[in-house]
Amino acid sequence: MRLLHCHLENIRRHRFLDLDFSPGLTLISGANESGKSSLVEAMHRGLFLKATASGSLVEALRSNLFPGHPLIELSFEAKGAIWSLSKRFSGQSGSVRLDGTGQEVPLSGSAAEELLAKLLGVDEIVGSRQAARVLPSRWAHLWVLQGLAGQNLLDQGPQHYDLNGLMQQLEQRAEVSLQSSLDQKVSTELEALVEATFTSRGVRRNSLLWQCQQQRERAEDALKTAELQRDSFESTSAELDQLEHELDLLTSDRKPALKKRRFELQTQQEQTRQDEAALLLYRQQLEPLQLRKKQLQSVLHANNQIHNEFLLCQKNLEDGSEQQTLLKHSLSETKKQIETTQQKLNDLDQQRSDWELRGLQMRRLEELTQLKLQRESLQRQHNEQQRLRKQSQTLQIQLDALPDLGVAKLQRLRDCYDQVKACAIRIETMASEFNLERADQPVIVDGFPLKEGQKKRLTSSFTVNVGDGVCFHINPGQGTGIEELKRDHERNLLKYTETLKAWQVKSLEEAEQKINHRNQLSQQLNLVNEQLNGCQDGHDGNISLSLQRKQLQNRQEELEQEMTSESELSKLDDSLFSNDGSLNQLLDLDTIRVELKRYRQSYRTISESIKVIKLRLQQLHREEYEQDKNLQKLTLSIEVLSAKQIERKQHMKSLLAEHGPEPEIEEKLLKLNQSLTHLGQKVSDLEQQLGKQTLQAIKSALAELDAQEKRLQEHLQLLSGQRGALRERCEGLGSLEPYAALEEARVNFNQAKLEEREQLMLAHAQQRLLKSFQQAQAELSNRYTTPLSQAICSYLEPLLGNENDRCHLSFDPHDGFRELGLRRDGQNVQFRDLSGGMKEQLNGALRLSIADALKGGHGDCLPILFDDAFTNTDPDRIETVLRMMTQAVKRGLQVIVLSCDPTPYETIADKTIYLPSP
Amino acid sequence: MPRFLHTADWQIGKPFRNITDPHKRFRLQQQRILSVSRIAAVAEEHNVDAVLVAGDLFDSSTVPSAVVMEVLEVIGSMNRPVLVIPGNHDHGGAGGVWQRQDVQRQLKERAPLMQLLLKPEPVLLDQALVLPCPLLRQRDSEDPSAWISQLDWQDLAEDCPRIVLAHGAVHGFESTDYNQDSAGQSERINRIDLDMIQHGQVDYIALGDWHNLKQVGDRAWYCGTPEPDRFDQGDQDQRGQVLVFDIDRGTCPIPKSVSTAGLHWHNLRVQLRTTSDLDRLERTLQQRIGSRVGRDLLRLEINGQLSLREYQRFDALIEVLRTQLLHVRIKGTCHRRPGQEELLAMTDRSEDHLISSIALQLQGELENLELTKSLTTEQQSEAELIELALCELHRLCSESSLNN
Repeated sequence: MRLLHCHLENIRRHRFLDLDFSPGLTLISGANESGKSSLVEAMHRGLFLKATASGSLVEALRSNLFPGHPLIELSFEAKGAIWSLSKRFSGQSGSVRLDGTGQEVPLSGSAAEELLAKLLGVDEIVGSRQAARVLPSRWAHLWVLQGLAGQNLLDQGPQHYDLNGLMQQLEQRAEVSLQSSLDQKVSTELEALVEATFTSRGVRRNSLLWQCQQQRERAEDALKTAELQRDSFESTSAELDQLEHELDLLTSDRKPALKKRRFELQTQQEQTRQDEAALLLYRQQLEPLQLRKKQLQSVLHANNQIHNEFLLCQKNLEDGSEQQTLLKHSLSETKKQIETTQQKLNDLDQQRSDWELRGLQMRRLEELTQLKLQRESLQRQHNEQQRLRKQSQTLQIQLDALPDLGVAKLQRLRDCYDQVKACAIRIETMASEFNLERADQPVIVDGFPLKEGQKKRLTSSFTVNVGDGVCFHINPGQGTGIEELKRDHERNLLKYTETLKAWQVKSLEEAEQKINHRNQLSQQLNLVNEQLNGCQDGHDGNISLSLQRKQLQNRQEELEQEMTSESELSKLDDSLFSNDGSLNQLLDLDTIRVELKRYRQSYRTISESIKVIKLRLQQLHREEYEQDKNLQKLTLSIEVLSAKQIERKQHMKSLLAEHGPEPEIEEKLLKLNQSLTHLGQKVSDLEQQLGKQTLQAIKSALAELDAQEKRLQEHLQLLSGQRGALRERCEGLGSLEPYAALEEARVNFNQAKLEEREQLMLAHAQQRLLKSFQQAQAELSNRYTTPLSQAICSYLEPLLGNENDRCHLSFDPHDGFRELGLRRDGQNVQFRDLSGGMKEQLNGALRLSIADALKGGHGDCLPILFDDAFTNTDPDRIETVLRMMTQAVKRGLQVIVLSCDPTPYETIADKTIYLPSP
Repeated sequence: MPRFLHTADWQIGKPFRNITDPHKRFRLQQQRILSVSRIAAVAEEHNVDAVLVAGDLFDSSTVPSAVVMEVLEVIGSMNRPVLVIPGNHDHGGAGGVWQRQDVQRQLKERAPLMQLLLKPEPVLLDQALVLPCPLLRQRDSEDPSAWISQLDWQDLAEDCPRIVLAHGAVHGFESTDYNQDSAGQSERINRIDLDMIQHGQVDYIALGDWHNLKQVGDRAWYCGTPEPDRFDQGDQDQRGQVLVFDIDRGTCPIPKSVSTAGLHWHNLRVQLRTTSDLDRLERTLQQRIGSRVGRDLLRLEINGQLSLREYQRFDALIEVLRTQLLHVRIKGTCHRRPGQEELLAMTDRSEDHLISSIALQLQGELENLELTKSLTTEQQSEAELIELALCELHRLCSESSLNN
């Protein structure tokens, strides 16, 4: 296959592009963006993509600059004819036309595409759907597209380098046939068979073996289910059997036993009923007898009781009269005591009233003495007040005599004095001292001559005349401020002296002394005033003081009056009282108070005694009342007893009359007791006979029996219900024919197991065969790799420095060629470890070798295309590349080189095409 | 002299689920009922006084009502006493077939002369005293005949012949029910101790449970099943009959076997190595079955080795038999391996280098393995695998060659 001509229309930046290819090496040069890659892509798609394809690959061809669908026309030589291919990519309506020499009519549509595929040696021309996946692999072994020179072609998979075609060509060259078509066919079929059965992870889903396995698993499950069902059926049957047995036991044993027990109980019940009736009869006979006995006993008892009561009453009466006498005596005693006590009380009362009078007088004396003392004290206070007032007035007069000089005024005076002094000092400092130390002429200062050694101090301007001819006028202190200073001084001095004059003092010091004196006086005055105020505060002022004195006077007179009037009444001799009975007024207050206390004490003692005697008197009165009451009561009860006594006597008489004498009654009672004992014996005998088997007990036993029977009945019902359920279950399970089902399941399982085993054996046998085939094929692989690697080496020879250096690659019948690399200095270097440049060169050599090998199937020629494929190759090595290409052309291959740097290739190019710059 | 018919193990209602074809399965089931008709004919022909069924009249408690109805109809048609004890398959306890209400109703309506003996107590007939040993459970560890040894023989009729009717294995001889799980057989269940009941007190012991004819004491007999239900275990197996015997008190009866089988169960064992072996097999089958259709069952135990073509012929033969017979069961394996010519067809291929080398290699491996005297299980399966691989290779080659 050899490319002859290419025509492009509306492809990216190409409006029209026409190229003729050389049969040898065609160099297409162009700057960047000149459309080299567009050209390559257009040719590639033109050859391998269907005209009806759409999508990004077609859109990419479209031109932005020119309207119209992309058109690609190629003419090439193949299968001994010259073909012209024309494709217009316009989506679904895209058209293709293939015309060849010797063809009667040009082909179009799918027929054209099919023939094109055959001419190019590919399966099919790809449509849009597979384009993205398949298109890049098309002629990847012949055309090195831009940017792919560094990739290892062999790593991309057999479909990228037409492995089958390559093997076919290599086998044709081999001395003996490596693998017949039948070998290949059988191997492929085996591969398909094994693949249909196994995946990398195990048995393939839905494969025959898988189905057998599934079938076997299902059969196994079914067998298990059948076994379970059989077991379930058998266990249900056994359960039913046991239940029947239990039911049988209950109805045949338990039920009759209960029936028998019921009969026994009912017999017992009848007997007990009869016994109980007899017992009732006896009890009825016993009752009147017992009643009679009770009656007699009560009569006897009443008789006894009345007799006893009579005796008791007699005794009570005697006791009562004795007690009465005693009481009367004690009552008279008590009355006597009351009288004595009353007398004592009256005496004490008299005594107390005397003491009361004397106490009153003493209190008055106390008060009088106190009043006198108060009056004296008031007098003293009054005197003191008078004295203080006088002192205060004296001080006020003194104070008023002194000028009122405040501290502030004094301060102003001081300031004034300081200013005077300050002015004087300043004037002094400005003064000029004129000292005549020596003079041979007369010196006159301000008209006054000055002698040698004389000094003169001057503060104002002055004139100095020395002799006749010299006159100085001197201004001390520059002659300006001094006058003013002097004026200030005078003014201040005047102010100062005036102030002193006003204050009637001669100096500042005197003024200060005066002020101090005044302050002292003022303080004294305040002190006196405060004392005066203190006196007044204590006695409500002067006026109240005199009032008080008057009141006291009145009270004193009043008291003295009272005392004299009462003194006669006092009969008591005491130191307090003078001989005439009047109160000794000369006694002092303390003595009076002590005496008063003593009187109070005595008074209290007498009062206490009175209280005690009063209490005693009250008690005696109460006792008298009590005794009186008791006496009355006693008298009354004696009367009652006497009445009762009479009544009992009558009662006793009546009883005797009614029932006869006591011994008779007792005899009757004895007889009655005997018949009672007899009947009682009969009753107890019957009771014993009945024993615990009371009717009640039998009834409860019967009730228990009822309950038992009911329980049994319920249990029987339950069991029979269960039996029904079990029977139903048995029948249900039985209807599934568990034994038959089990047998069938077992047969099915065995059959499935057998089939699975057969299928598994077959699959393993196929695997085994495939392995043998693959082993045999692997042994053949060397026969494929050797010629190819030799071819590569022949291209690369100049680069392989050492004699033993060579290219290496391995072959696997399934995965194709692999492990491309170089053997250098005895070491294998993998493709990925090679330098960028070396990768490009090895890639180039590999492609040339493959094309070399494949060309036999393509009319001994194939176009190799390198699009900027040696950009990493250094200028030294480019020589080798050129040599490789030359060699390829010599071997009949067509080489197309596209490069932006055409220089190195120009020397070997058979034809150079320069694409116009953009 | 009274005459009785001794039979057992009818196992009516046996499902035969191992027969996949429902039609054929039905025929097998139907044959069992037909065999009861044949027993009725024998009873009539020999004019027996009563028919004694020693257990397992039904196969299970789940026999369909229609089948029950059908077989009771036949029993009713016998028109003479039929004494039946329940066996382990049709035990008399709750959940057993005899407790089913439909069965009890049918029994009254259709076979009024049939006596189901559920209690271990003497049953006096006009001509004999029957001592039944019914099984009331499927598995009972107690001897069902134990009650007989407790009997006070003085109370029984002096001159009446005494017949024990029992079902189960006996001491010293145990039946093997090869349809049951092997685990069930080791249990000592339903075991009858004959020593306890003989001593001249009984005149005949009619036993059931063992499906072949067998005498197990001077007066104790297993009658076998009247219609075989499985392949025989050897030439000694006598199946498909009933026993007819005359009896008197104090005599030792000699029962007579009368055939009642309707189906033929063949159990063959062949070695296949050559074409002549196949020829011989075909001849044997011709002799035993001939052109009979639908009345035979075949169990074929095979071994040996056939070439692919021969194996194909064997396969075809079996395929025909499967259609013709009621059931064909193949046991064992006959190796299938390319014969000399077939092998040459694979190895002698100068063009197909891979195929010939692989075929040779496999053959070599197989021969190496076969040189070993006793193969381990692994080696055996390896050999089987290689064999199969060779067959597969042969198939692929032939198919691919044909396609070419």
